Amino acid sequence: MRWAILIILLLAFPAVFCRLLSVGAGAASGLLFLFLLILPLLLSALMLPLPLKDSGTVRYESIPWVTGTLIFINVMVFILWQGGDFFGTMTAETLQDAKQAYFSEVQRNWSYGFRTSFLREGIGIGAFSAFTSMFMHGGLTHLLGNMVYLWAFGRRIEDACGPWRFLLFYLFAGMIAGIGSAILTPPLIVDFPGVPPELDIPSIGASGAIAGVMGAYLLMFPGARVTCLWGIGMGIRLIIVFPLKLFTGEGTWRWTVSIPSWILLVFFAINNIIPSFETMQEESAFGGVNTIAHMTGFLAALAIFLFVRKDLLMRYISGRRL
Amino acid sequence: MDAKTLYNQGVAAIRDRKDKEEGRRLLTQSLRLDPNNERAWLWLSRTITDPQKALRCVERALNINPTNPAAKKLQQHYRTQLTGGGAGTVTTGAVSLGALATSKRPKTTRAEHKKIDLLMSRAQKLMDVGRTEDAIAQWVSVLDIRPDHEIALREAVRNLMKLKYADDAKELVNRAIAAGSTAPSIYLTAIDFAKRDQNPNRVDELRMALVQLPKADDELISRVVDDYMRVGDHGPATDILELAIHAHPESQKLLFRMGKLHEEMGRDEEAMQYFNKAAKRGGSKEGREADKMLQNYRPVLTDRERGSTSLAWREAAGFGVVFLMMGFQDAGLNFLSMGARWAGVILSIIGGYLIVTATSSPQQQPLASWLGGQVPPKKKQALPEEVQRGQAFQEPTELPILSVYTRAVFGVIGGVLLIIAFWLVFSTALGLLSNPKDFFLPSWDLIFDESVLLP
Repeated sequence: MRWAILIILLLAFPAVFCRLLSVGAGAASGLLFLFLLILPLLLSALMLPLPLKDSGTVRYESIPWVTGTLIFINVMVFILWQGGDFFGTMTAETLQDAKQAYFSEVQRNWSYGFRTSFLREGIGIGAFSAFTSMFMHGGLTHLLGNMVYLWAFGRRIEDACGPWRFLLFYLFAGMIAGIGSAILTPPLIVDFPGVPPELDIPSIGASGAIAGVMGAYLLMFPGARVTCLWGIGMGIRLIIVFPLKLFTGEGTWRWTVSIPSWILLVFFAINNIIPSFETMQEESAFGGVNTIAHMTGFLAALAIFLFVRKDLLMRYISGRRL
Repeated sequence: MDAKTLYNQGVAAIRDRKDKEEGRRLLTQSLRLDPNNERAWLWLSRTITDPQKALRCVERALNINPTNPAAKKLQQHYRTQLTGGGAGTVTTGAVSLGALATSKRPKTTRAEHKKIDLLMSRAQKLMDVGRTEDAIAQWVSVLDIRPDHEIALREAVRNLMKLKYADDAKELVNRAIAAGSTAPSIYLTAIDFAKRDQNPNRVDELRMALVQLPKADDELISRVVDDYMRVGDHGPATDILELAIHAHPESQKLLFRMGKLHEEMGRDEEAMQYFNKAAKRGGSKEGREADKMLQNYRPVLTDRERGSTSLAWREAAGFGVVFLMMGFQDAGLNFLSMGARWAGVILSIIGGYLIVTATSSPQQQPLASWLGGQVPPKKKQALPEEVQRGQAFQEPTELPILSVYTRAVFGVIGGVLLIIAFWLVFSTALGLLSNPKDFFLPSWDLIFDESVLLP
């Protein structure tokens, strides 16, 4: 099975390359493109820690197959299915072409994104939208940010659950995020002919599922330290390390900071719970970041105890080190 | 003439005729024939004006007989002369650990460098013509200037050993150490000598000094540890490694080695800590090995966990909640409308249980016993692939396990039930695939009408 996945990965890469080349990204513009892709992520990391990996504790398997596969699928779906229209809006030669690409993108999001009406009224693709929306993303930064978080936290949870149970938990968390969003997000109130008065805005992205993975991580390994990219942390280190090095010659500089996972919980809560309550209190939602889905997906972590390996569960219950 | 005669004549020359030169010559010849004559060494020391050289002779006597009171007095006398009456370095035998710790020997002057070069060149020429003893004398002269000159020492020791002057060689090595040498090779040679003398305390002291040297590499330190491990001395091996790690805190190899040592001693917690440290420090081979070793410290399944039916049902409940959420969505976010989907949820729990039993809980009791399971045979030694998979340290089991055929049947039935469950819980969505219904999609005008901006 693992060899099959590896072969698929190797065969898919040429397809990805050709796709990228076909939309006309030249070398220089490609570099600029990559920089612009990473820049928003780096800018957000100035204020909020961006987790890169965790450190220490026991490991079961050295290769996170399912985490890697999920990342691969997400990337493939974006590049091969959504990428044409997404890149099309940026590389179109005329305004009409750009509009056409944008229109196509919107149609796709509204057809396959998670929509409350699909569930309540049994239309469109119905409950399948819970799964299709999980693998769609609104842009490269959206995709990259989610995949970074998935890589940082998903591996340990896959360790703790085993590959298949982790996949089940991931899908479960994504579903819970969608359900929570559907129930708690007020519809968009629109007064326009031909448009339903209470319009459900489609939701796409793996954020809800990843919030669940993150919540599970914090529940299972609250004392674990996570290596993060964090501007404020680097600033603090600069204040301490630089004088130390100047006066004593000791102290080493690192670009990353190691933060206990419970601190990340605090940041996550501040970043999501408060906006969620604001959204719920409003009569109409316009869109943007679906913080309600993040919050409810996070709560899905409580179910992690149904998915973890039995030996790890017993150790957790008995208070022993995981 | 024999050694004794030469010795008597030498002593007579010194005592009766006050001829130190003659006495030195005769005693040197005597000692070549019989290097274990401690009294000859003491008499020889009296013929030498240089207190450092004299001290060496006295220390040779003490090596032969550490309890010789005259030798001890002379040693103290010469040490006092050398250190100017101060405490100086502390020596045990001929190993000066104090000198090692704060090794700040005086810098060799340019003139001394020149002299050393000249002596080395002379020594080489003498060796080329086969005059080994004279060459040795040149090297010894180099060592008089710089006792820790590595090349001179190596050559002198090697050739002295060839000529079977082991004690002389040992003396030179000890002098180099006393002078604060930081060359690992010198310490290794000293260790060999100490082993030859069957002096285990000295061996330990030298090893401890060796592993703290800045130039001591990980390979060398590992060999020292292996020496202890070969004879089952875990305690000194641990001490050595601790000293080495203190001196080389960034060394993954040493951290990994310490982890292995603790693992061999059955100290799992300590082993895990060291493997963790080694794994954290980066992607070297030892770091990856440490990471692999950490896999061996996974929680160990006990028979209580293996045989637990409730834990298996817990996993099946995981299937249940997933299918429940699927059914809830498919029913329009209304539990009351789920209808037949509840049957799907129940089937998913049963199907999930069968799959769990087939895969991760084949030893549930009393199920495995009822279905004719057999207790698996005990394995004597873990196979390499089991170590690789982190299964080397599984607790042995006394519980019967379902046969492969039974597990296969359970798996197939469980899979079929899950498929049926999926069909039940996702009935509406599956129906939409064959019978799609229209739904609202933003039109072109709606998207690009500035009065209505839809996301």
